[in-house]
Amino acid sequence: MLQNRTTVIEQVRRLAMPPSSADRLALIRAITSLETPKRERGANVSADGQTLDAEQETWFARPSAERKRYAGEYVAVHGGEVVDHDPDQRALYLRVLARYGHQPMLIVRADWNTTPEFTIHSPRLER
Amino acid sequence: MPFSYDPTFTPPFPRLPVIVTPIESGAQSAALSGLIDTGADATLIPQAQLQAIKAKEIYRARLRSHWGESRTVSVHLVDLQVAGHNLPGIEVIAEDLTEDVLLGRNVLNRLILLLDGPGASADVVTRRPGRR
Repeated sequence: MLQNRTTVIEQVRRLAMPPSSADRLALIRAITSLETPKRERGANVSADGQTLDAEQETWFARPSAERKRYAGEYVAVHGGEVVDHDPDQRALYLRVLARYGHQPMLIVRADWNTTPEFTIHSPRLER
Repeated sequence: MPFSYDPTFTPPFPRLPVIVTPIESGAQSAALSGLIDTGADATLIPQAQLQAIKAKEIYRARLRSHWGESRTVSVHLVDLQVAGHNLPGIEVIAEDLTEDVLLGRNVLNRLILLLDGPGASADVVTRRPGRR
């Protein structure tokens, strides 16, 4: 009976002890391994999206001098070729839509040297 | 006409009604609640809304948070109506992680905004206050 009490007290004492650094690290690793992986675009990119990716990669791989011919304008790129260009993006959009229908069409600023990056500077407080 | 801040945020968030229309057709989104976010470089619309009106993707971009994490997103060209004001040919990012509509600076810098914090209302005005 006395031995049982001692065993129970010892178990409670161990449970109440603060975890060691190694235990804390192991616990954090165990918890993070349970998290659902973040959704990443790419796995479910549409066929149109893949076409645009390829067009965009080809466009930015072109020599800068070639792209600068259209400086100050938007270019419409289809099948690796500039099919139209205009300083007015909306007018260009409507024109290529009339000519090519709903086929994927890259429409970007000719001045960009790489894929543009936008930033959301406004973090939110979680409560 | 002033629009009340969204009280579901703490502190309340200034917002304006937004309607999204594809360039080539008259199909319209429902009236969405656009959060006025001067910290956002770009305007974000839920992907489901853009898919519903068949807004066409025109290029891919990277979207980065304040702390540097970034991901690839699709950019669409649409016509916007913000608080009754027509803004043709606006680039918007398809947001697939949240349902929030964020009005970023590519839209806000085209408008004269009046934010009445104590009165918890936002408005788009046609003339700068104090000028005749």
